[in-house]
Amino acid sequence: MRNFVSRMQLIALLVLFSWAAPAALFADQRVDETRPFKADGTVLISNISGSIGVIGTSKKEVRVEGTLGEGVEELKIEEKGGRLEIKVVYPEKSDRAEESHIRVLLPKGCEVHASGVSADVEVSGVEGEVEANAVSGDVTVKDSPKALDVETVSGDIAVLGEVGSIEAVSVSGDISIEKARGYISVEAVSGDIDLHGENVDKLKANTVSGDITFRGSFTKKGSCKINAHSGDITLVLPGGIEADVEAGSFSGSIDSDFGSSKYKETEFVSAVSLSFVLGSGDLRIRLQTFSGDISIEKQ
Amino acid sequence: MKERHAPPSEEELISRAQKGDRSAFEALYRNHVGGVYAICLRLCRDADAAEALTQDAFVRAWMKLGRYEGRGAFGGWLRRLAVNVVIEERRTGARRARIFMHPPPGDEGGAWVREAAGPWGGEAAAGDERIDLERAIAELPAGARDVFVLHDVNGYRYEEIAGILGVAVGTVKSQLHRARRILRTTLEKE
Amino acid sequence: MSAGMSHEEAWSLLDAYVDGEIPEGEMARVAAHVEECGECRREVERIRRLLARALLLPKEILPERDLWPAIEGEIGQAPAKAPARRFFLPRRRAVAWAAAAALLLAAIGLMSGRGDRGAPDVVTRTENVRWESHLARSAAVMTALRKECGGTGGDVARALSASRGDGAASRTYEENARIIDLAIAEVERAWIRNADDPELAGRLAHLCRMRAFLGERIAQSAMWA
Repeated sequence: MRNFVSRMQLIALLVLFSWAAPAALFADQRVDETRPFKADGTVLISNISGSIGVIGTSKKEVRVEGTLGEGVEELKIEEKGGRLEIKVVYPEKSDRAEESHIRVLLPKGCEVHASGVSADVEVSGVEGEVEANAVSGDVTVKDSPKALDVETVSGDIAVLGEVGSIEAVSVSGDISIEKARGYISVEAVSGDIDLHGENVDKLKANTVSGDITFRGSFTKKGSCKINAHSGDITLVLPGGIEADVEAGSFSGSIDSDFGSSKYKETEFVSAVSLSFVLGSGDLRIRLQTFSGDISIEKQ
Repeated sequence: MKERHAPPSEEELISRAQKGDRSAFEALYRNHVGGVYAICLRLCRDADAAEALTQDAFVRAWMKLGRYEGRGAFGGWLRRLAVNVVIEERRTGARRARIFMHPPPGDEGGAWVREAAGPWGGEAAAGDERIDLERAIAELPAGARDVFVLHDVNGYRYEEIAGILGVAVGTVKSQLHRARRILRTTLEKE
Repeated sequence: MSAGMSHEEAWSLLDAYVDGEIPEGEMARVAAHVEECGECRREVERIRRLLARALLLPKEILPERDLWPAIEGEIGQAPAKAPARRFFLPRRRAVAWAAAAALLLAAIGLMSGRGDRGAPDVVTRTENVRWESHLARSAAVMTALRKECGGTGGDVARALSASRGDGAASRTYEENARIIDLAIAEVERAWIRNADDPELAGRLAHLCRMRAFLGERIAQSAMWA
């Protein structure tokens, strides 16, 4: 539903832009600037509308290329205190933010910070730490940065490669992590969270109304802590897990393929809880909802 | 016969606090806040953050008071708890305070040359041996600093440190070696 | 007779040697080498001097302000369970909010007139005088909390229409603020009936913080606009 809406917005923007275009022959300014930069420096990129593409390379230089939208004041590229700042500057009083699409090719060992408002952000080939923010833009991260910190308001977040440490937060965007492992902390208000991964060490997931799904496995002494208000929690795990599981819901239901039915109804009106230990119980699983349903399934 | 009011022993304070006596816990706080704050401050180099973490450590201590079984000094138990709070905060909380769209504050290491002196930056006495060392510790890269503070300032052993930081003992050794070399170089320059 | 340790090997073990963190047999071998090697001996001296200085560092440093009131505020209302989860806000504010939210809950519990269930267990232990002032604080806190949390959905809408923020963001904030408000209302109702459930109290404080976070973001996007 939301993708449809955001596509409509994009189309509306394009229609608006194409209507305005004939009046401004030099609407789009092309940019292509390169400068040398160290292999492991810090690069900060910000754009308001359009897109930011970040590509890690093996060259010791930063190249910024793309098109700036009409009315953009300038593309500021400045080195400050050892950090490189790349900023698409829009004038203070402009009414519309025309799209600018920039690609930044930088040394793959860099630490990258990318910020967009309604700009999509895509990062690939970077091995340093990556931090990305967008308001309504989507954030997509490919390959394997050392660590990842992403925050969006309504944009979706997709992490496609293996990343050892992920923190992802969104208000209404969906969060999808395909090769989860290591440390993962994800939070959303209404966005859904969909996680797949093997040997996840520590997982923390939290939503209000979004659903949370995890398919995969944990390390032996891992820990998994998931909390949702009205969203449903679904865990799909291998048959032989050795875990200490506690699941509780105030008014939702709990279904589990594991453990005998040790459902406990407390003195509170409809609260249910389920707890059991399998094998060594080294893996700690804690699931809690207010009204969402909890389901623990065997792969 | 005159009544003698001996101040309660720490054991007694702990026992009372475990039963919910908050004024007993306050006394424990007064006795130990210095030790807890010192370790938080040296690990995170920021007075505000250290204050917040110290607060959190004591709150957590209150929650976990039942688990303290009197094995080992209470101060040590508290400090260990504080270190865990610091490490956890680093991993999950540190970046939240950022205001959206502004460049992130500089992180550990090189770029921070000016602020590296941390909470000891303002102290005038540059010749003061103690301040020089505190400053030099504050300027160490994160991994080396953690290990130096935990081992050489607070007396934790390699294995313990490895457990706390979640790294291999070999890493602890090499970071400690690194920390000591850097510190000696820095201090010898003065 | 064991072979003497090479200089390179000893050199690499000096730190661990000074720390006493290598097995006894090795210690002896390193010690033997150090006795004969001036370079290693000087290095050991330097390491020890540094450690001596480190030992002289104060073991205790007092924070600039007294942290007890804030700590007391948080533990005073928290039953013996894990503290409510942090979410978005800088740590300091999160602590203040936990206290504020908890006070709010106590106020709600009291005001719903549940004489039989009474105030939450922790509070009943305090004297009447403290409970009175606690109530007064609660009413003030409730107003403040509501205000800071960004008010109702209507307030959010008004604040947003005044800003020129990104259209998508405004709608998102509005919708999600409403989602959180609904969740808060649900938990409040449940909590009133089950005031002893620490899980609910924690959940409520967490939701209030998320709500406050959205309020902050709304304010920021208005600034940005």
